Amino acid sequence: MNLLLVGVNHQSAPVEVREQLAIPEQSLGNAVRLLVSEPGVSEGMIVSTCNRVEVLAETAGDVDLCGFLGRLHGRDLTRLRQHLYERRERDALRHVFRVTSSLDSLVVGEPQIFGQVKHAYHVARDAGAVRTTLEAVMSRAFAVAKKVRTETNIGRSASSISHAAVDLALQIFGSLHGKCVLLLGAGKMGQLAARCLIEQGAGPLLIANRTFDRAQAVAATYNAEPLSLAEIPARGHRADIIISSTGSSEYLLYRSQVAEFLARRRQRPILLLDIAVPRDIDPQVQTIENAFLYNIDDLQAVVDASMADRQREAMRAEAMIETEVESFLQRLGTLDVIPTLRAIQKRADQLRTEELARVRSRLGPLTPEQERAVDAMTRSLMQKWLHRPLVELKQIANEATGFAAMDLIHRLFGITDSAVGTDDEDEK
Amino acid sequence: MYSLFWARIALTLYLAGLVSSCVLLVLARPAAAPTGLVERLFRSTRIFLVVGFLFHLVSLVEAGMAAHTFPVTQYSEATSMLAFVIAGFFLLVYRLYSPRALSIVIFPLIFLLMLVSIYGRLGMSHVAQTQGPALLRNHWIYLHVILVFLGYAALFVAFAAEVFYLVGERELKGRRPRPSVLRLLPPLETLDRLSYRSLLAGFPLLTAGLLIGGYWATTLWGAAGLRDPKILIGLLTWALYLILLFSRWSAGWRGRRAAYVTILCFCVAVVGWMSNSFSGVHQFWKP
Repeated sequence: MNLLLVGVNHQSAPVEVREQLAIPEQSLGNAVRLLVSEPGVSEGMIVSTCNRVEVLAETAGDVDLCGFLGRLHGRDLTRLRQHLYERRERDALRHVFRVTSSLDSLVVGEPQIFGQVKHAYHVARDAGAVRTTLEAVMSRAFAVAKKVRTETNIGRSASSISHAAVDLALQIFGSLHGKCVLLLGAGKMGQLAARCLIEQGAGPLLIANRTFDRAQAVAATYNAEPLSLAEIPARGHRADIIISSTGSSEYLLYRSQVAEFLARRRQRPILLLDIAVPRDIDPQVQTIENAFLYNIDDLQAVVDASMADRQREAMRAEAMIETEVESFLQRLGTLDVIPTLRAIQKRADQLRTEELARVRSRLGPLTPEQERAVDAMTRSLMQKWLHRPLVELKQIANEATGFAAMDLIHRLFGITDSAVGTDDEDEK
Repeated sequence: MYSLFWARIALTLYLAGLVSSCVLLVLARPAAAPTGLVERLFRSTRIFLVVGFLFHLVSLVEAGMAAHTFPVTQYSEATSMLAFVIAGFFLLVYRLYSPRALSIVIFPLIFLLMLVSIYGRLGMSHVAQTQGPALLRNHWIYLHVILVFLGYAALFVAFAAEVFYLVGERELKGRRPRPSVLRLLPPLETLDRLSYRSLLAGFPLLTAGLLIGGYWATTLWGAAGLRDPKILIGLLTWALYLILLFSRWSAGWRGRRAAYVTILCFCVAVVGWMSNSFSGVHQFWKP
């Protein structure tokens, strides 16, 4: 294994740089084909999303992947070099695992990156750029990501106010299907939260605004029902979730009104999200049973708590990845050494049988017992002589310098790469 | 002649469920509980319940065959039967709603009942274990007991759901819900619905059970038979049950208020269950 990774992400480079390096979806396949046609690159794949552009390659010798990116975009990248990071071997492997597990994401634990990496992998595989090493690396990376997702809570908790709103609604209502959402005021934050709820199955959506025209305009984009503020007392009881984000300096909803809503809806709970400053909903509403009022600070606290949760989970995930990197490298090492072990043993046995055949004619007739003794003696001599090198060989494979040592061993025992290869094919 | 072998195996499995529930509770406190482990624990509590339930069934069949009667005539047998009915009812609820957090409260109860049951039978001779009075060998009483027990079980599930409801409501009302607590709790509306439906299912069963018992008692002892503490407490439970269902249905009671009344109703039922010692008509057969 000789992994090399070069790329930029949201931490290393601003969007102006990332957009210059981004590779459009339709030309990704071609880019990967160009990558593997580079001298020294045997396998490769490219991940390009809005937050990162990364080139991963299995290489032999020195390869300039930065230069490759430059040639790909037909421009000189010397100015951008400071933004590019380069990872090799263990570091590259760890980076791939972290990216796939969403630990390197802008919002740690967000689920999209897994699909994006998987897509990049499929494109590269279809282009014939993924073979043994990258296949092993990527299939392990996907397995690690799944493990991280199921064994930690990294992707579970709210990362934004809108997400927190959805989480709270789910915790109260269980399912959002058929839950009526009332949006007071057509502010941006309110719309965002409403959209998140709708995406989770909530609906119908009612939109009320001080100016009815604006309510109508916004309602049209969401296929929602516009209301005037004057209609709220009469129709507000329909709403299971009320999101308020108006610029009003007075309360729009008072305790008595909400109590009345609850009475009219037979005490089915109401979630009230007041994201306006100054507040739109009388804080006294909180004292009513079955009314759950959250203002902007409360929602931020929910987000903070869950981000802290995420952070803790991320630390656990990092530890998991560290172990995975370690075990992957070890396994890879031991796997790589097996064909070599076999080739050495095969070569030695070949020599033994040849020598035995040569000497046999000079020995004259032997009893079956003597025959067996000679055979056993030569075999045991061979095994004893090979024992220590083979043990050491296994050991070396686990060490970081294993790849270089392996070359030397091949030369010492006169094993050609083809000998290792044919042995491999025999196995299959 | 029968041993308590199967009952003991069931008890051990319920204990295992109890232990893994406790581990779940302790783990859920810090947010750092590994999700994979929590999942595995929830799965294992369920397996313990199912397997324990099956062994429990075997032990009841064995007891019934040894006594040539339905095994509810002695206190310890009835306790075992109650634990069995509650476990069975809960398994049904589990299939329908999968309120896995509720298994945390189910295990202490069935374990305790089972323990009491086995402990009560430990000192008995085989003769005592296998004979019962003719008075209690009556199909009506078996039906009465099973129906009332199902009513109890439904009440218990509603009680458990309401306890969780109160915890969840407090957490959400406090406006600083802890992610680790919320992860364990089912949504409020789910709990409320579970409690309501469980009561709805349990009420007709309890009613039928009481009617059968009442009819049977009056034929035996006349109207005087009804002036028994246990019967009166049973009627009180039934009345609370009725009020609860009626106010939920007509006045839309739900949430905290419904939770308190459900818990009260359950407590009265517990008193009713324990009132055999000062009840004339509900005396268990004591060998």
